[in-house]
Amino acid sequence: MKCKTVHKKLFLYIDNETTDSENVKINNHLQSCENCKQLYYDLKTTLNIINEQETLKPNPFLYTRIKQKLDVIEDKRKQNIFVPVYKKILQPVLLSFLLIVGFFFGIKIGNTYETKKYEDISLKTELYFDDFQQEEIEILLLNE
Amino acid sequence: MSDKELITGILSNDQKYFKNFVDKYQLMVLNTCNSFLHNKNDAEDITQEVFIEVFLSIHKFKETARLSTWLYRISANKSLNFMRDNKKRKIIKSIGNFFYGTENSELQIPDNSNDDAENKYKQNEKIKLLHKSINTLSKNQKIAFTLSKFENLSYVQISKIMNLSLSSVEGLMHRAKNNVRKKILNFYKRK
Ligand SMILES: [Zn+2]
Repeated sequence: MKCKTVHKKLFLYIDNETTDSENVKINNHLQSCENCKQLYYDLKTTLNIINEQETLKPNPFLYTRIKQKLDVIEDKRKQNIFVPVYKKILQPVLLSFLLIVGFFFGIKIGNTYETKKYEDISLKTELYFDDFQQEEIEILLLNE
Repeated sequence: MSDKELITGILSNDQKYFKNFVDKYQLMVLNTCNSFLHNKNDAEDITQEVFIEVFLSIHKFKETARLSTWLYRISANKSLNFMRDNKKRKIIKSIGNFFYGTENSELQIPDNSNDDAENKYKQNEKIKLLHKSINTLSKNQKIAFTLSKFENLSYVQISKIMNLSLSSVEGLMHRAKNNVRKKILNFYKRK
C-alpha cells in the first residue's frame, strides 16, 4: 500500500471501519513507514481529546450570583417605570434637536472653512514664484 | 421535584423553586457551555446568563417540549453568541496590540530541556488544533457536532434541540465529521 492510500484510510482505520484485508495492509505499512505511523498516532490522539474533556463541577455560589444579577435587572426595571417620560419622549426630542442644530452648524462651518482653504492655496502659489520670499522661509526653517 | 412542579413554582414567584431548578440543571448547563467554549470561566459566566434567560422567559416555555431540550438550546445559542462577540473583541484587541504593542504574547515556547514540558506543549497544540477545526464549521454543524461528540446526545435529541429533521442532523453530522477530519489531516500532513 502507498502512503497516499494509507492517508485516505487512516480515519476509517481508527474507527475500526476498514475491512480485514485492509487492516493487514495498513498494519504492515505502519510498521515499516515511520511517517505514516507518526501521522496515525497524531490523528488518533487529536481525536481522542474529545473524550478527554474534563467534567466541570458546579460552582456553589452559582445561584447567589444569578440572584444578584436578577436583582439588578429587577431594579433597573423599576427605575424605568418612574422615568419613562424622560427616556421615551424628552430624550429623543432633545437628541433630534441637537442633531439638527449640529447639522446646520456643521454646514455653516464647512462653508467658511472651504473659502479660507482656497485663499491659502492661492497665497502659496504666489509664494512659489517669489524666490526671495521662499528663501526667507528656508532660512527661517533652518534656524529653527 | 418534577419539571412541572418546578415550572409552576417559578411562575408563582417562589424563590425556593428557582433555586431547586438551578441546582437540578446547573451541571448539565455548565458542561454543555464548556463543550462549546472549552474554558471554565467563560462556561460559568454563560451558565449564569442561561439561567437568567430561563427565569425571564419561563412563561414562554411550552410544556409539550422537554425542559432539557429547551435548556440545551439556550445553552448552545448563548455560547455561540459569546464566541462570536469574543471573536470581535479579539480582533479589536489585536488591532490595539498592533499599534500599542502586545502586553503579553500568547506564544508558548517549548522547553526542550524538559520532556514533560514538551509533551504538555504537544498536547496543547493538539487541543488547539481540534478546537480550531471545530470552530471553522458552520453554526449548525458546530451545534450538532458538539452536542453529539462532547455531550453524547443522540441524533434524535439533537434534532429536537435544533428543530430539524433527523435526516438533516445526520447530514450535518456527516459533513461536520468530514470537515473536522480534513482540517486535522491537512495540519499534520503539512508538517
Ligand atoms: Zn507511509
